[in-house]
Amino acid sequence: MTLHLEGGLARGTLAIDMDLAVGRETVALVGPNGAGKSTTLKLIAGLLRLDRGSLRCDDDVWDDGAGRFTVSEDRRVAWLPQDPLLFPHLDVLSNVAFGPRSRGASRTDASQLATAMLERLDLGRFAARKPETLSGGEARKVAIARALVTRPRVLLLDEPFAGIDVSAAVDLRKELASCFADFDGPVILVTHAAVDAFMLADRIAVVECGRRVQIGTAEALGAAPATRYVADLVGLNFLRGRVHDGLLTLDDGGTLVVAHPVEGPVTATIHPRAVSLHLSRPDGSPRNVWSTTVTSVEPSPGSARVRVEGPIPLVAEITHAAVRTLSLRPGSAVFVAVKATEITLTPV
Amino acid sequence: MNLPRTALAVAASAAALLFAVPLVGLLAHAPWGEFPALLGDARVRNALALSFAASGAAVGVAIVLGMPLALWLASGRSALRTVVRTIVLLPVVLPPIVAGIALLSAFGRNGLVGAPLEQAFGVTIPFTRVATVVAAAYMGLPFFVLAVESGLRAFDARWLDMARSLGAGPIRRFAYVTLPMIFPSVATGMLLCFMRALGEYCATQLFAGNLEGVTRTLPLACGLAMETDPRLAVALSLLLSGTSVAVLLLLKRRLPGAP
Repeated sequence: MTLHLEGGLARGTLAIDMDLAVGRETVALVGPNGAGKSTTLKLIAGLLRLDRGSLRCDDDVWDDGAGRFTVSEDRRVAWLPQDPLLFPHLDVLSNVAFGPRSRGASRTDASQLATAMLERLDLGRFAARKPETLSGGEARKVAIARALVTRPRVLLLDEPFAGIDVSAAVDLRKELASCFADFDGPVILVTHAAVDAFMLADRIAVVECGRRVQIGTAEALGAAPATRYVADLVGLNFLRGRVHDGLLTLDDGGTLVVAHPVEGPVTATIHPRAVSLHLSRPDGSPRNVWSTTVTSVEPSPGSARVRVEGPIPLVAEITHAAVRTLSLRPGSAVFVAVKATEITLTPV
Repeated sequence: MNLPRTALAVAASAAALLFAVPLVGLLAHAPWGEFPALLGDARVRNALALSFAASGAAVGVAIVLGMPLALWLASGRSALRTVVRTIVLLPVVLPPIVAGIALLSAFGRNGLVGAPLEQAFGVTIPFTRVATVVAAAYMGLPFFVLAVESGLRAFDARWLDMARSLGAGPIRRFAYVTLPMIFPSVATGMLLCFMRALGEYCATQLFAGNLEGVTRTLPLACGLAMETDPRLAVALSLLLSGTSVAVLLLLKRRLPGAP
């Protein structure tokens, strides 16, 4: 089962031009706010029409950008927006039974299906409750039950963890992971949190300004990030410039000695662990050494991420012990060293 | 002592009294002892039944015709919608006598629609029970349309997107999502429409006449009683006031400033 989306639409300042093929897998759509992720989900759900291009699910053409358009109610796409949108006038059971009822199931059958689905997700005790009495995490799970009970062909989730507390998010993440594993079709998950994308998705599609700039596994993205956003996402330093004769001249100023036999415009990535910090000028193998100032020190489990300012702003990942030994704090003067062989170049 | 605050209190009290005193006058003149006898009279019971039937039918007309109109008005913005909305809301501000004359010129025996209707089908509207319903609906419908349209405009269309993605077609979306969710607006519209129809006097008299047992509604009976039996008029007025107060109590939670 495969979903193909090519093309897009223009709405005011947002222009979407998407190229996405999702099989029986989970793809995370990540990207900055306003990149068109939610709009892409609405296109697939049939709540918006393509201006041009096509949207197909297997052999069914859902939208050809012209006359052919399958209305949302006939697509069997589960759409889970950020707001769970449980019908406030119906109790939890009736909310979950709404889909089967709409698709022609009798009252008894719909109710049985809904009860079974609530039990499966361990939500049986909420059946008679009104949505307003549920917590954010509970409402989110009920919305998932309501979507899954319709036996959808495609599952779309928009920021499933937004606005719920941390412990509920942990619980929900587990729940979703098992739902995705059981689900026999394309799952598309919109998120801005890298951790969710890495934990839940098989592949990550990065969307910027309405376009899919890169798609691949987390490893593939990390190996050759296409944009600064992707590099930030995977935690890498990302630079652009032009190589001539083993010397990389950066677009934003500064030069670096590089080891790869590449010429012309490139993107360069440096892993934060490959950036070392020193109190005095190191005299050793590193070919790139310069002095600068620390702008921030962010502790993270096992290590700390230290940002340094220009001429080449970078992030260095060092141990907590090193932070203490060097007594680093914002404003500390340091020498930065990067080995030429640690700079990965990708021609563009 | 705070002078502006005192002035405000005096002015506000005067305004409140302006509304309270007539009501007190009505209560003071009420022939409490004779109530059962006065209201038990067959003519009064006829008028009461006629009034409630005509107003109920007007609410029915509002639902059948006003609901689709409100749905269309709320479904977008256009010059045509503005024109139609203005025409529909006209009866709210129109002097009732003008409404009565307008209804006669349209549906009267020599009216624009009335004349061909009579020639072709032998149907006459004016001075029949149907006319009381037409007059009541004409005056009451705008309140229904206004209330329902504002309810629909405040309604978040994302609920419909959700219903759609769950497989609900247009009829199911309206019946099971839109209607229950805007029900407070619909109920308000129905009550306002009913009350405006119940109180209708001038247009009814002009267009439907004042025929005992046929078109003499409660307000018309009340007006007539004022000339023959003022005690009966006061009793009927209290009956109408009681109904109005009951409706206000039903609407109370929907009025601004409610606790």
